[in-house]
Amino acid sequence: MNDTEKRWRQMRDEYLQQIEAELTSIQHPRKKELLADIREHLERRYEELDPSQRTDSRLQEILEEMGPAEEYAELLKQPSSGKTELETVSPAFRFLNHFLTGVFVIVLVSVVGYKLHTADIKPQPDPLQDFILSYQPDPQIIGRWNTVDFVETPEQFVPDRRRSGQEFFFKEIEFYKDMKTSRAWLWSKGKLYFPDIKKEGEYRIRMIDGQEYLFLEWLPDQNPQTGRSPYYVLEKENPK
Amino acid sequence: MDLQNWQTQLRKGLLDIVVLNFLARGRCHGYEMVQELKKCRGLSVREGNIYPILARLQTDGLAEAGIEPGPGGPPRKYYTITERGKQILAEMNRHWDMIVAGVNQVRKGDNS
Repeated sequence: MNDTEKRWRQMRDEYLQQIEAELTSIQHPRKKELLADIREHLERRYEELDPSQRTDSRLQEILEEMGPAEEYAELLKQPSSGKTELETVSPAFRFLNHFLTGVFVIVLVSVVGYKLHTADIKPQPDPLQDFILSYQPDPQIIGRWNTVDFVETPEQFVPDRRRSGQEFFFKEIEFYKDMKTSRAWLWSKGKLYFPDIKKEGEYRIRMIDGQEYLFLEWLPDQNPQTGRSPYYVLEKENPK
Repeated sequence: MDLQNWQTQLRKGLLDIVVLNFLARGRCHGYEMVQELKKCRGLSVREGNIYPILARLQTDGLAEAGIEPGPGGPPRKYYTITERGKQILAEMNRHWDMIVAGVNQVRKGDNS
């Protein structure tokens, strides 16, 4: 990462933090999604700039063109409904209406509260969508990797003592630029998503003795007691 | 009167109808929508304005989001208008036409 990119990331993250701070004042189920959308938009603006145009002032202009951070919370809130019909009727009727509304609200809150307490009603998270929306690029992972070892922890791996030539259950994987892999899994920097079990595993790339190795957490063999998973170790195949 | 404040409030108030009308033309990505709306000079849309509106329209059931593969990059989110969104938009457009007609009537002094 060069200095310009570092500077841009810092500016972008500060802007996103300002928005996040403004959003704390309101309740809305899509706040996380909104931040991911803005982040993606900013990334595209940056990518579309010619490298020679990536000056501090131009990058600042991009953020200014997005609008002030406080506008997001304002626009996310429901628009006010204006004057209601109730405001045009007599005070006695208004009092009666408020009283009955109050009783109704108390009953409703009690019933819903009881239901929530007993049935554990929660909005259903969508781990796949969360994974896709939090995508981070990783040029290092792109390409084909072949298995060279299977270890309990990444620290256990010693290149000289690897079990090359042995038949591994998981033999190879290719990572594509569009988050996909040659398997049914998706990747984002440092993470691998397994849609069949709806879980995220991690991956790490380490340089050992001048050679790049990929350590891929193997969730299917996770120990249910400890929650720890073994790792496949892979070596990158050189493009022909 | 603070004219700039009035213009800002008017612009923000119109974003829902602008975004829904844009979605009624067909499914689109948020980024593409922003680039197109920026070209409509009279609207003075700020780039970030569209996203909270899209989030709110989804929560209200007027728009839906989906994900499709990106061309050589990560998957991208696209938006479509729902059936309920189309119904509400028809009402909004009708109401908007009435407002414009009413304002023009007053401007021309033909409000008898």
